[in-house]
Amino acid sequence: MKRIRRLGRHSRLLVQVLFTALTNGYLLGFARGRIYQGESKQICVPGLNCYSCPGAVASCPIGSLQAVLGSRNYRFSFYVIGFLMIVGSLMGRVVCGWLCPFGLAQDLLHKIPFVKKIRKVPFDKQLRYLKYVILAVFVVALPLFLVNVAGEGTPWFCKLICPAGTLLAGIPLVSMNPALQAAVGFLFGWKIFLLILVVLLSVMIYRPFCKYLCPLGAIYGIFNRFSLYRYEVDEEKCTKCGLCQQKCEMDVKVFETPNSAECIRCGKCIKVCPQQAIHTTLQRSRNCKKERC
Amino acid sequence: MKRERVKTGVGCLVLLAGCLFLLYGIHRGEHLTVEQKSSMICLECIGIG
Repeated sequence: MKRIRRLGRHSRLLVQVLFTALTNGYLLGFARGRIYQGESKQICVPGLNCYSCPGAVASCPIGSLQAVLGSRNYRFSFYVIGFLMIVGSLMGRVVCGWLCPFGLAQDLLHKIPFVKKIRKVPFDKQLRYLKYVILAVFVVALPLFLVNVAGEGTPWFCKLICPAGTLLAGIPLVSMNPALQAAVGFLFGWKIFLLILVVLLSVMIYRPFCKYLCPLGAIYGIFNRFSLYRYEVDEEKCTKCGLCQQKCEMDVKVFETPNSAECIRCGKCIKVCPQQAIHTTLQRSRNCKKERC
Repeated sequence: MKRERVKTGVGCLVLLAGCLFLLYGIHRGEHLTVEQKSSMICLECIGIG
């Protein structure tokens, strides 16, 4: 019983690890330094998971969006945007908290002890808008408008920023392929520098990439307000004690904006609320069924 | 309560629109572009291209 309770306490970590293993399950790729080429790569995964990761069995939605926008044949991606609308309208940023491999990496890094944790980042409020700028400029505008003579764009976010690509794909592939090692240059150095920066910041600050840089988080955040899975605060029960905000590592004022674009649905606020005033729409419909309302 | 119902309604509408978008994207063959791109090592993604 104790073991089950302990598992329940770590349920989010368990889901994160299982989903990462499931979507990066092509172990042969890691052994051979090659990537998976099956038909399942037509399908996108909900989280930021580079499709050039040797283990990846599906595609990253941000990489796919840039690939379609930058292709000669299409200037709009109904396929990827439709996929993002489906996932977003169902669960919003649950993806960030529960299903994203790079979110898991940041969570684990932040667990490293003996380093002073920074809770209040200077210019935090302004920096949170940076991810929307990155989405608009590097994911949409540049791949769409900056094209070569053949009319093809470049995935600028993947090329210049994405540390998930460096971690999941760049390092494993380059370390196993002499041909790729020979081609390494300034760009690879820049991406390694960015990755190290994100790793170091992740030890001190909770999920800095999700808070300030991730374009996928920016997209799902827009859906948080009206996704079918969202949080509700019972105004009659809530005493506005602020305990939920104190516990929230994304620094969301849960009692005022339970469906903030910054909330990654980790569920800590629900657990910590002494009045049990915060619940999810799923819990509400379950209670409704019990009471037959 | 009414506000919550409106939000649920908007969520359902977006979900429906998402399904239509996805199907239209498949009809246009966008999934093949995704497969084509993701089946080769993306040099830009790994910091070489």
